[in-house]
Amino acid sequence: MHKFANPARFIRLSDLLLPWLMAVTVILLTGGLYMVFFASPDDYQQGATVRIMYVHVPAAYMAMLGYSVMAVASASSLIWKHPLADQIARAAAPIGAAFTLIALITGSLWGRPMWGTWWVWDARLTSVLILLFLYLGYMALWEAIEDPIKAAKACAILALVGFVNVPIIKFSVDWWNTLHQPASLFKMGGSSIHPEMLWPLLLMIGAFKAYFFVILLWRVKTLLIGRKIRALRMAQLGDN
Amino acid sequence: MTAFFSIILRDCRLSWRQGASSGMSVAFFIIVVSLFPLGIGPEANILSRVSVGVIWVAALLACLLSLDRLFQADYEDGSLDQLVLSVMPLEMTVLAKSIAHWMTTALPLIVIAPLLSVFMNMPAEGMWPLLSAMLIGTPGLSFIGSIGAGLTLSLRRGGVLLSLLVLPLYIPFLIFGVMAVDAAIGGFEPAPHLMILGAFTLTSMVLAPWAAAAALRLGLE
Amino acid sequence: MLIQQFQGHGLSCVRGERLLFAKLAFQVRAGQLLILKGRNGAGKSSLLRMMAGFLAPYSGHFSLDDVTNDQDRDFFRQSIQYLGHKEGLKSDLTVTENLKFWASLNGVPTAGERIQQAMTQLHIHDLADLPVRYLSSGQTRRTSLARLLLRDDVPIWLLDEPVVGLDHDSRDVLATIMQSHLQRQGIIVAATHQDLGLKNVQMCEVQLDEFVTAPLIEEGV
Repeated sequence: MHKFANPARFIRLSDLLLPWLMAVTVILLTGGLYMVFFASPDDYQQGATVRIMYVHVPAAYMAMLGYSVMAVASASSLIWKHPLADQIARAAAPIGAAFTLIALITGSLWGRPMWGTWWVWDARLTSVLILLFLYLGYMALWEAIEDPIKAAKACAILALVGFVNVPIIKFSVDWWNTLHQPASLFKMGGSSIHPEMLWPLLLMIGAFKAYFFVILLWRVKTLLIGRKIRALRMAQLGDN
Repeated sequence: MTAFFSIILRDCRLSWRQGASSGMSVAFFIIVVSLFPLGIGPEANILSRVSVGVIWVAALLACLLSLDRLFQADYEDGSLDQLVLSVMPLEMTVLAKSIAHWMTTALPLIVIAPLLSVFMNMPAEGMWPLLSAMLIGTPGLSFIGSIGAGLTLSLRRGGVLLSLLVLPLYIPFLIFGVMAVDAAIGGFEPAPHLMILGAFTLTSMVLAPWAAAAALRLGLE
Repeated sequence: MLIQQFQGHGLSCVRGERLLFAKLAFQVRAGQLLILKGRNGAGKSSLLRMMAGFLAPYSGHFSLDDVTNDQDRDFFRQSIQYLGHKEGLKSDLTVTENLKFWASLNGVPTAGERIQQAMTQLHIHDLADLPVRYLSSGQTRRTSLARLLLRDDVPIWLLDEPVVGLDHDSRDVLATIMQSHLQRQGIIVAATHQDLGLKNVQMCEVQLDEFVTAPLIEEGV
């Protein structure tokens, strides 16, 4: 079972990759932020508040990426019993949850000038809110089961069940929203986006993605080291 | 097949002997619904507007309430070991137990729902759609719930965690269950919504027992 | 009885992050009793649960004659009966109801007759219509032993501390049914501290303490 998994090799690899990824994050983020604040136009309707988009959209994108990483890692953990996959799934959850929260908060901040209230039961926001609940359930299950091997398997099952349900929930919420609300006041992506806004947005998405993987590698490394410490403690107990 | 029915029969008989469990869900259902008029005021228009949603939400919560006992009781007295070792595939055992859970929990709720719809001043056109929607949708709640019950099997204080795991997955049932009734009240055809609801229930019937059985095997390790 | 020998090869067991035992092997032939010994926490129960298929071995495998547990899980499940610490009986059902349910779950033919026979053999005939909750612990234990008799075509019995909580008479009953199972060329694996009171049976032993190793440190970390 542990033939393929070589945590030591993973740690060496991540040590090699991390500085490069961090550099990419910093470069993209600096460039992106510069463009966001100084080199992109105000929206003709929304004015400067449109700049919230450059944080909101990448965060929402990372929220979904986080869940996908979790689901793929969970599937490979169940199928190939790869213990590193467990740690990747576990590490991805809080990062994804944090981005989901950021997407919700920025969405709410953006909604204030747009809709006149802090919260609107818009289909997008509602789906993201439910995604946050799915993340929280997953993390709570990890915490609740003491035996780490069992916890990993149980969470993998949950992540896959959640992953199958995400499109169904999304579909239901969209349907619910179209019936209960007049057409949304504001639609992203529906209209073509101005190239001067597209570039900073792409840069920011790239920066967020690089940042996501920096944190992911870091957390996996931390979890592996934590596991080693526990094993060593136990070995010490055994010697006495 | 005899084995399948004998599990359903056993669980129903146990619930009947213990009496309290089904009764408690019904009482819970009634109390939750009666809290809403106290919370939002007795005005008939407002109650009528929210009636369907309130009844559905209360039904979801009542189903959830008894879920943690779905496998727990069998786990504690060792029956689950024997169920797993029996000749019957565990997936079928889970399905049978979910069906029994539905019969002992959701069915009494459906019987009492018309009374509550009168309490909540729900328009009369909604009555049959409400009953059919509950009849079609609530089995799905038991199927999906079995996954959560399996995952939280060996945990102390699994009940709260169970609701965190399961409630987000119930959202599609809630949405379409309410919309079917709202459509009927608004003078539209409820059938499309009921069909989608049926699709959800059937899908969960096929998929949930696999996940729940996997979770149970894990819980018994 | 079809099974000639039941073997385990290179078995290791991990609970939590602890390695309980490693590289354990055993062999038991038709008509033999295998006793698992070891101090508390050495993994006797875990080994039995592993044999029953609840727990996947961390490494190693089992074989029944030429079939390994990876090749044919169902064959293993059908060749094994497991009796753990917990009785696996429903306290709200009567003795007969419990046994009937269990018989139909496993598709036991002519269940009614067999149940009568088993109850007579275990001296619980008078208790047939009593709910299990009113039985003493010895009587409850005997009721769960009745399951072994209902499926006497199943060759391998796994018994976890079978004599704990048994009064003197029940011990004699247990010894008798174990003896006759061995005479029919069955196999029994029992984890126990105490003397089972069996005479003239071929016995072998596994001392689990010998396979206990240092706690697990993963390679490569």
